Amino acid sequence: MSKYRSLGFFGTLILGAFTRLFLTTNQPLRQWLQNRLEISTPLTSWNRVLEGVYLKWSLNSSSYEGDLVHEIPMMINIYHYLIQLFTNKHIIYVFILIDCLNSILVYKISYKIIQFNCIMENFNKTNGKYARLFESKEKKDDFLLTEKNFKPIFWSLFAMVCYLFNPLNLACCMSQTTVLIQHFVLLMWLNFLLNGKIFMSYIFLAIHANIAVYSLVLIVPSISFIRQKKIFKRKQIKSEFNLVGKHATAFVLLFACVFMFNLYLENFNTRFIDCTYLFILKVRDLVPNMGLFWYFLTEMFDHFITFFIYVFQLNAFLYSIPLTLRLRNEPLVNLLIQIGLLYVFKSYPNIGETGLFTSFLPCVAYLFPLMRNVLVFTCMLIAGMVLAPIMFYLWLGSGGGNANFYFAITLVYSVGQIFLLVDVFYACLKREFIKLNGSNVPLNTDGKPANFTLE
Amino acid sequence: MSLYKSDSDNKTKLFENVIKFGPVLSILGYLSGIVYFSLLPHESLIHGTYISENALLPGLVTSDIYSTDSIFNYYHFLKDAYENNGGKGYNAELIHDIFANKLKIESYTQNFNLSNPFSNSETDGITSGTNAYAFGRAQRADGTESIVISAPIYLSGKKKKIPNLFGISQLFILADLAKTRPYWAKDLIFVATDMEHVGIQAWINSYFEAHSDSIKGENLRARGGSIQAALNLEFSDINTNKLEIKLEGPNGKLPNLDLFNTIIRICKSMQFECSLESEKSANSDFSYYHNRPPVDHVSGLINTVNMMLKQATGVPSSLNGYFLNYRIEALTISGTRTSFSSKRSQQKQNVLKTTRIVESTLRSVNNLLERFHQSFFFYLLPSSHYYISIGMYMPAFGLIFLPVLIKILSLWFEIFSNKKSTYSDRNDSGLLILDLLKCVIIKFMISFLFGIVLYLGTPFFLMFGKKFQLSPKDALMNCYLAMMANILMTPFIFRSKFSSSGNKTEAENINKLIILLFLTIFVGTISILNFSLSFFVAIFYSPIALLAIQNVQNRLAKFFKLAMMVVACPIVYFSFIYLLNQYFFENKNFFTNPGQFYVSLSEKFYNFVLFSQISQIWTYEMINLFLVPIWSALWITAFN
Repeated sequence: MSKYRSLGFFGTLILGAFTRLFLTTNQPLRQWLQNRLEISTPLTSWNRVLEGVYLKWSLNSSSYEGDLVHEIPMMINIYHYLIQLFTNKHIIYVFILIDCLNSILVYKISYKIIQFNCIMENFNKTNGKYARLFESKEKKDDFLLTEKNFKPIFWSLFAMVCYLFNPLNLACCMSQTTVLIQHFVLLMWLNFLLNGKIFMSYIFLAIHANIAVYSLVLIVPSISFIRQKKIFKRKQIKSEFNLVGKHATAFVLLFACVFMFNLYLENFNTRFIDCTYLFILKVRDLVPNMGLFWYFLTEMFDHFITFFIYVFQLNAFLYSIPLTLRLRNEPLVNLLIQIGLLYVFKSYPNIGETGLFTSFLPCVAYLFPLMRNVLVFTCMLIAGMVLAPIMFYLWLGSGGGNANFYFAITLVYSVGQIFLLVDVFYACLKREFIKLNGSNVPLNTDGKPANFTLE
Repeated sequence: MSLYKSDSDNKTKLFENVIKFGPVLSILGYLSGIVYFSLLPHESLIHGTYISENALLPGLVTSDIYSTDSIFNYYHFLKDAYENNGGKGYNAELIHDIFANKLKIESYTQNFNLSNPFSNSETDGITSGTNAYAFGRAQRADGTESIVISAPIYLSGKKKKIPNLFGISQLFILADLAKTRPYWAKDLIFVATDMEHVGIQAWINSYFEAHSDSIKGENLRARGGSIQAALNLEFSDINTNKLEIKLEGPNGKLPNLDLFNTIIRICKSMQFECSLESEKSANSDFSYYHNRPPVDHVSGLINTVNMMLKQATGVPSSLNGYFLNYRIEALTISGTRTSFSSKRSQQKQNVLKTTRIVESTLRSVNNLLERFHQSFFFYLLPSSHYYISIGMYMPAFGLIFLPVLIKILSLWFEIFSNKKSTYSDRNDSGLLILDLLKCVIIKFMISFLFGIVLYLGTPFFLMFGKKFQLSPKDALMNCYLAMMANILMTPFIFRSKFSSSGNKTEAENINKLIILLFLTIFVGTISILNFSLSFFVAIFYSPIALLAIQNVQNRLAKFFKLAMMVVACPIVYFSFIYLLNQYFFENKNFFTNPGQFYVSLSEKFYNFVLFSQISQIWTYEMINLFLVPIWSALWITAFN
């Protein structure tokens, strides 16, 4: 516990909490943020939650009357109890508390990730896997990660700072979006997974998968991580097929349990299925957001829409297995990349999700020297964030612009995120190559030095 | 080449090229940007205006106004009311009375009051006024769309308020047409507003039920359909032989160019002289009835710069601007007199033509099938017959800002491709963070603190001034200048705090990079909203920023650098532009009389701040919140 007592940790936490408390006093800012489409998507808007609670408990009808509420029944119930406990006026403090809890989880998870990576590299080194690295001519002593040259305390604190003072996360906290609670569930999954409590982690993943269908695919990197952990604990894996089958079945069963629980809460009325799972998959609400769906689907002829929804949704699910196979030796980087990818290809993305993903980047800070396009994607992300409200205003406020203005910016933003993910992926692969093959530049058949490209 | 680095050979080559050709490219880019901009009104680059929306069909209708009798009747009636009782009889009540009882159309009045945003007590500093508004409902239409014709009851003159008698009389003529003619497809809404900028805002805010802190208007009793366009009529005299069109809206907004073109076309078909506000044209002997006047490069450039100066302040040039806040295309038609014609028949002709022009414009807009969406929303006008579109002027802006972008690129390469990094060892990451904290974060926190103090400080400045019994305008100016002096003093106070521990180039470079990125974000963002403002910022701050972050050893050079940085202080820079503007466009020579300039400046400054507060114009706030901190960070960096 001593590591948590460090001044930095509590200082950051208190500073973050105070920043949030200070910002809550600015009522117009909160109002403005609550109405921003980038933050209050149909899945995360607090006003919609209030509507759902009102419909169910004050009017005694279904929360899903009127197709405004898209939270699963379980969460609606939780929010109902929260509102009863704290009243709607003070609920912002609950959100601040959850945001602070999230930041602590980010700290713990980052710590674990770095620790795990260090131990894994050390383990592979002693097993002689990196022999060629030590034979190569150009040597770099601190290339392999150890807890000495990549201090977990420092970098996980850095991750926590990134989470707490990221403007995106601050905006999400101020607008009381339920994305914070989704973050909490996701972080709990990661936390339990890294601590080896697999059953608990699957419960949280099952809940998250019920809230946002896409996180179903995160079971693939989780299994990959468990497998890697088994390998380096020198446990014999009898059959890979068996392992995958066992975990996948367990997860599906848990997912079904959470689903049944939701069904039970709704008195076995199946209406909510259409309003939550299918609402996400069918992309019925085409109100602009920072994602890639709305513009294409509004511009398209109706008879193409079904086909393109299939194609777009496939994107979110498609990359999981190939990425896991390719990054089987780097299961944690794989986890981060896959979380990021989900957030890009979601139907209703929220800027807070980018905030969460980017706050984990300090865990892989050792990859930065190997990245290629840091300036490009940084500028793209900054431009996307700054210009989005302005383009939105030009389109719908002053009327000087049109939908293409806003769409161009959301495209820049999404492409920036993809560049970031691809760059992490590239740097990770290059690092793996160096670890396994040494730092000598390989030669092509014509005798010239080979170039390292992603293909 | 090493595998440990991300750069391939191509990138290293690019880096070397940026370092090698960067300075040359920067200077070339900046100069060519200025040259290109000044060439924009040239014959070979300019485009003539055209009507993009076919439905407008300007000038195709036969006018329904045949004689000037009723115009003169209304005019003299209003004039009598104005001249008797010291002008008290000429007010919104009278106008309401004519609408309701003479013309017998739906008419109401609206009371509103304006509270001074900087006064402390609740009751102090409240002034009130009354608007009159009337609806000429289209007989055969469903009332889903409407057009606004507004006229201020009084115009602001040099010394005293001038009654807008002719403008108001035209409202009555048009109201009569709206009532009797069957062809109207849109309701006509007639608004006569009190207290210049305040009344129109009170009316529009109430119409859209928008909230404003300082202007409180009564709720409106009736409404028309969605407003498609608005015309604002300002005639200080009935003897007009030229129309001037005012366009600029708040915060750099401009109306759709089609509306402007329509009026120019109609004036041409009526053979009536019409131009931009204070438009200069060299060949005065040019007959107005030519299809399109020849391009005059010099006067075109002057007109463009004049328009940009007006746009950059963010203050609307007339009352039409406030409609633009609600996506209503609007412009002001104001009448002027260039030569005095004693012939009564000539005068009558002019009155008839002017009224017909307004009528014809309304009937063109009446033809519209959809909202104004064609033509241009972002443009500059070198003359009433030519325009410069956003696609033409943006490259100039990009070229002028190119040096900063190149510097950002080279700084980036320098930081991340540095062969012998001070912090190459990962252990030193902590040290780097510490240096960054010292070098960058504290600097920025202090700079932005200044910005926030200026942003929130105006009421406190005035309160302060009251204690020392200064007039508000002196108090504001003095306190603002004191804050600037404070910023100038900062590096003396914190001198040791800002320097980093180890080899400081890396942290310093990151500091420079962040300042330049801030400047880029600021200028780039503003360029979309208010191009002119960002242009005037970019043209000066682009070289200044590069100068400030340049390390110089020579004492003289350093002195020059610091002197330039003092000039770069936003208020000094904008005062200088104001001085030049007064000299070239208003023919006031302040160079010989600096004391008078200071008095005039502080009055202008106070009015501007007050006006921004009332009319929600963000130029002042943006400059305080972003440009002042950027300048402050540059100043601190330049000093070390």
